[in-house]
Amino acid sequence: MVLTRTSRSATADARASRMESLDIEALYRRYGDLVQGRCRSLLRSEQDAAEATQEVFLRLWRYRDSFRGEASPTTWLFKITTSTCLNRLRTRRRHPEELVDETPQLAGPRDALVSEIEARQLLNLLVEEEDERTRAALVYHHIDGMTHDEVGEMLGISGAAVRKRIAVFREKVRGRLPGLEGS
Amino acid sequence: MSHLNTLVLHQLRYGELRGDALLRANEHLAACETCSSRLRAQEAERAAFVAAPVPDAIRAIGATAAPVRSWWRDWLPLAGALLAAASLSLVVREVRTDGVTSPEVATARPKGELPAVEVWVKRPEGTRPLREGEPVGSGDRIQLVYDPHGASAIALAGRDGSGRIEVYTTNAPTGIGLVRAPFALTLDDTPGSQELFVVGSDRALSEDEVKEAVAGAVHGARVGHVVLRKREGGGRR
Ligand SMILES: [Zn+2]
Repeated sequence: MVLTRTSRSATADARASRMESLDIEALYRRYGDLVQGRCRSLLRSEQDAAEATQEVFLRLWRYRDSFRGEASPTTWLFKITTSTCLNRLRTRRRHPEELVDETPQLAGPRDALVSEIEARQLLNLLVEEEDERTRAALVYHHIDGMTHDEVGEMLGISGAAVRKRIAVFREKVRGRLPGLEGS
Repeated sequence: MSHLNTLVLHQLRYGELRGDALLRANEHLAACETCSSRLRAQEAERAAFVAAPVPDAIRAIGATAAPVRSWWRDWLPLAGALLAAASLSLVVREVRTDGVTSPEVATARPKGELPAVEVWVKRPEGTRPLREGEPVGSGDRIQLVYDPHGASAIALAGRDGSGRIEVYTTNAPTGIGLVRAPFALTLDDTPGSQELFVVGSDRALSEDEVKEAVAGAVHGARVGHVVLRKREGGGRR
């Protein structure tokens, strides 16, 4: 089982640290495809996706005690990965000199419900949105196909609040999101 | 009929769906080519992933002195910024050198939590968290990663061995969870320790106010702080 707790009382430090290092690998092998695929499809840069994946696993490692108790580890990772990528997109936009090589062909799993072009349009416009939860709401709804209520559950707000945030954003970017205008 | 959302497909693959949810998902997949093909795409990604080696940078995470203490159990994932101030001293301890002062925190600490700070360093194997006691030297590229803990404004500043305070930005990104500073720092050869500060506040501070906050004045600011240990001779390893 992946999430075995390492015993600290009975083992030497060296062994404990070796076990911990096995643990992070086990976690990575189990969940890495979800995280990496998500990072690739949201970031479109192999290097950025690798760094973001690493960042997510660092956080997972930090919070592994609480992660162990999660009813749905994939939900936890999905949220953390999404917020990590969206933060990174904004940082990249603000500091274009730090831009890494873009690899347009790079793609994560084609599990999105919108076309590549529509997803790119949305992600490019998202950097203009200040509010982190609204950014996440837009991705969950438009790219991942969650209903307003499902998004609300992810973000801890009501479905109505999600609907409103999305509507306000769409009004702001009216005419610049042709692929998603009708959805 | 609305499609299965991306997360539900992951949950299905990972065996997290139960009861009605599982039944509904399977019924939908049997009838919907779009969703079956999305699920196949995830499975193909999984197959390619399993065949690839674990990156060194991921292994390195397990090798860091990761903070796992009982109080971490209180942490509620995604409930926002809930890391205790203890996380700061813990992170700081990872990079503090012997003989260097403990993190300074304004004594009349304002409401709210200190921003947690950590330092990542660029190494040949990738950018990774600085390890406990690991020295840095001139030419090293480092990246600050911090948790704003709900602060509305974040400023980043440094103090070098000569005591000079430099404000890098008064307008760093905020957000929930760990945030990367919008730039990397390249260390110069100024002797002595290099300190880094993450100043969180409920309003944007001026550069002077940030300098004062770093020096110990309050201004409603919460100051997270790390001290980098400089390598003997200052050179790159
Ligand atoms: Zn479907």
